[in-house]
Amino acid sequence: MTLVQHLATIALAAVANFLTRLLPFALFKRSDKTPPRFIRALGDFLPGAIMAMLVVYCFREVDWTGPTHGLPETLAGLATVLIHLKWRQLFVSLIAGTLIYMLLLTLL
Amino acid sequence: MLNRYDGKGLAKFIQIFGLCDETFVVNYTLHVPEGIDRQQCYSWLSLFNYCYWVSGALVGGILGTTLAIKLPGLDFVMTALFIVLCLNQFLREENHLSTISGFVVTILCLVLVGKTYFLLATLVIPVAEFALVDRARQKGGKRS
Repeated sequence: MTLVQHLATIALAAVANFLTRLLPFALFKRSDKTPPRFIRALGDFLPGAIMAMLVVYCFREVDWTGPTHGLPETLAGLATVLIHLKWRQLFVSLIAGTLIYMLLLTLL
Repeated sequence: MLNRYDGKGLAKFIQIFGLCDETFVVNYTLHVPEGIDRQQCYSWLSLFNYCYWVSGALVGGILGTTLAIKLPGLDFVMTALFIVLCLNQFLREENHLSTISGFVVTILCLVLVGKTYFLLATLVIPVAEFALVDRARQKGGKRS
């Protein structure tokens, strides 16, 4: 890409990004009304589904028919859940889960 | 954030422009003590967070090109983070309909649509599902 193309790409991404953030405010703020009840209720409902979606998204590249059948990912994921249920410390769960995964990768 | 952000002029621009995931979480859960301008708090927090992001990306870019260390499996940090966040959400919520259907819908879409475009379908279905659930609840509420 040339310099102009680079700059144009960055500018477009910036504008698009800003628009997504501006839109809800522009839609609901102008009239000084609170957003419709449905939108607020949706805001309470969606986070759970989105969290689940992100977890599945992280497992999308796992090759279930490959040599390890996704065993390291599954086991490390389960270990992360158990560790978090036991100690409820975000960073403990993150570091332990990742170390277990790295270990399983070399072992399996 | 619609009910919270009320900056004027430049502050409004900073608040809206700086509303990334991290800033959202911090400002959403922020407890502003008495006697401190809430809107100024939001604006400065957004601005500082933006600066950290820029400098963090710069340092990461420089280090990433000069120090080429390969640690296989380190990217599992991301997966572990989302697992923990999802677990926290699950433990906090009273009704698991959203989370459970999120799992079911996403896995179905991944299998049916393939890993390139499945997120698009996954984003639409829960909204439609909620519209149905919400309508049923409204009707039920009126009847009783």
